[in-house]
Amino acid sequence: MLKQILKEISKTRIYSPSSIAKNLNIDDELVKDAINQLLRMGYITEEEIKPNCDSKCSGCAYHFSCNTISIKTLTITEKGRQILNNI
Amino acid sequence: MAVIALAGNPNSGKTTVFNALTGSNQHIGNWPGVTVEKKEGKFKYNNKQYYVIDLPGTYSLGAYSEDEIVARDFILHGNSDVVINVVDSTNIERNLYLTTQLLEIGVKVVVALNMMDEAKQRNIEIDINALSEKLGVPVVATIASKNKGLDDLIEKAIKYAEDGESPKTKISYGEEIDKEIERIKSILDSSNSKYPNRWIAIKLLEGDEEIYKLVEKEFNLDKDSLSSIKEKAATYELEIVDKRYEFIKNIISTTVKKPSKEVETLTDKIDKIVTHKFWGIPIFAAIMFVIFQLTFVIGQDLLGGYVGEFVGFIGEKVVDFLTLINSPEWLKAFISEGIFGGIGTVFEFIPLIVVLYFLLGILEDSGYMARAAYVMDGLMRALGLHGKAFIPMIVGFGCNVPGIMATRTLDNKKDRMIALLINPFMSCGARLPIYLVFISAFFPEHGGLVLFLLYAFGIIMALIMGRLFSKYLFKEESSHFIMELPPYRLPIFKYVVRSMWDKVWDFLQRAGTIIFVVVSLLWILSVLPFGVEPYSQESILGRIGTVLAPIFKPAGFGTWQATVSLFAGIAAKEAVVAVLGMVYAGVTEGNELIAALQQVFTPLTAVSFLAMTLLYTPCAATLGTIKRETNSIKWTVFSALYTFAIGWIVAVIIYQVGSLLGF
Repeated sequence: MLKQILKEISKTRIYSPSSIAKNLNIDDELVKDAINQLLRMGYITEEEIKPNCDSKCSGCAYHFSCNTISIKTLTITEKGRQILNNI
Repeated sequence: MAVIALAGNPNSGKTTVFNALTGSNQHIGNWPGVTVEKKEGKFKYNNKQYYVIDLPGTYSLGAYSEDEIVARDFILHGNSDVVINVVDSTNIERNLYLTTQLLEIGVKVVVALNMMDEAKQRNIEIDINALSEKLGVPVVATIASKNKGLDDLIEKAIKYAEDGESPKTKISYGEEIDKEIERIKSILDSSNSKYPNRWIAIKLLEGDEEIYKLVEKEFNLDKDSLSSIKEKAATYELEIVDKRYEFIKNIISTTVKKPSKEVETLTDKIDKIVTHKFWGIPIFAAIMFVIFQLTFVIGQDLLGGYVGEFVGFIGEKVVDFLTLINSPEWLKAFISEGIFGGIGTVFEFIPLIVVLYFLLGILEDSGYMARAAYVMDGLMRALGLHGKAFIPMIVGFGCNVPGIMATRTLDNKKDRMIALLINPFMSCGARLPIYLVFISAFFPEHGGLVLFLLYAFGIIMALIMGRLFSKYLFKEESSHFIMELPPYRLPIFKYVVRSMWDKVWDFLQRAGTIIFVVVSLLWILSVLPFGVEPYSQESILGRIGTVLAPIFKPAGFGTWQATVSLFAGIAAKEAVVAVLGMVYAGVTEGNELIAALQQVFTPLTAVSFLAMTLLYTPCAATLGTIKRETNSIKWTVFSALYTFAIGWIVAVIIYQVGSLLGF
């Protein structure tokens, strides 16, 4: 299943746990768990893109004009790519 | 006293079971040497006392967190007589991953299928007897929150602890790995350890560092053998975890019945349209256009004018009061022309800003922005840019400072530098008053369209410059990434209003602080030296502006007033309108600036001026952030100068081509 999920991730530019779950006919929660497993095992990395500051929002002069959007991305690591090459 | 350990995933209801069993007879402390909370308690059953320990909630028994290590070590060292594995029935597939690991350790396990009422509500049917048979351990249905099934659970757990045999469940990892497990196990068996050697062998093949340390300490295994196992672990690790999931899937397929999933959710249906390969970008553009159009319809046509009239009214009253108390003329002039004529002009556009931020807030809260980033990602990749760079660009719509801070998350230098250098082309909120005052003066009928075109032009210029930087300045390879699309949700009115208010409040605060300082300084320069006509070309400000104005002659707005307003905008963009308000109108009535601009600018020079303000040198705060983030004066100066040059070139092209075409 982890390999299948890794393959699903490699095939697309966007994902949601529900879309992977639908494609593989498994539970959304299981997909989230499997993605966590892949993260922990170093096959993928996760980033949350948002203002990444040293100071806390409460002390920041730009806090109010700051945008609250944050977008999660996954990147397949070299270790993950090696697995994909062998599938 | 027999010891019962409670193990389970976070939120499986494990602590509810613990509380139901122990009541007030519990103690909370810390596990030795770590900051993980330790909960222990006692209860009596059939006149016998039992000790219960609530292990930290974990998804597996790996070594990825302190929680996992604490739970694993407790079980591994044989500290419990029986483990009650609390499983969330509504999420059984996920929860059984931990169960399989407990079974592999070989401890006595009783599975508490908790939250059975919720599972029933979701039409999930679990064949408890079949599940028990497949797992090889007792399974009991419970609803811990209602105290149901707990007596049965305790009875079975105690009976199993006293009389039952440890589970013999074995997961097959495929012929090759199974053979390797057996080979390692036979080596480990020679050490006469107290540990379950098959489980130790599996963990070694999973590359578990903690187990390697344990084996080095407690087993007779030479370093070469361990190194060769470690090499194999790199290949087997994923296979082992995968086989566990396969084992769970096989059990679930024969013991659990679930309603089939909805084939296509509403989110899927919407995403099919809004993330479409060809329609995605036009839809994004259409949404933004509608937002800008609505901003003008609601903000200007319905609400516009009231704030301007109010500011004018207050200005008149303040000046009347100052006259009444015989204030000096300079103070009256400063208050009426500097403060109300300048800063007051910025305030007149608050209704439009309120509406725009409200509508953008709805868009952000709905989850659409991730889709916008995705469709732009496609375009950016086509141009050889990294799609991630668009996310800081979206953040930059509010303010370029956090937009630039958002580039920190880009992993390679190329992506980061490009995202950082093109971010100032994104129209921040501070530039809105400039657009709004010129749109009101020259394009009132097409406000939404002009505003949309300005924002779109900023994005297009950012993409063009990004492409050029990618080709000539930074040539590293970009990494491939996948974006998560969160499900859509109905925007929560309270949050949208709060976010809107925060931004408007920030706008007001800036008007009262930095804009006030800039306008005050420039007002002094515009009335000095004594004896000259205030706000005239002979004033200090007029003379400075006159020296610099020829720069903008080819762009069609080479007046000293426009020049000083643009340079004041480098301190803070809102200052452009405030300074124009002061030097052109200098009186309190709301529409004075608009009327003055209509006399000095033409629609063509207005467009040229708007293009300049959109693209030229970012504000001081943004430049400061670029300096901090790049740690380079060279890149900061480059950013200030190249944006100025781009703004100037575009403004000149617009004016010269427009003039040739007869506009």
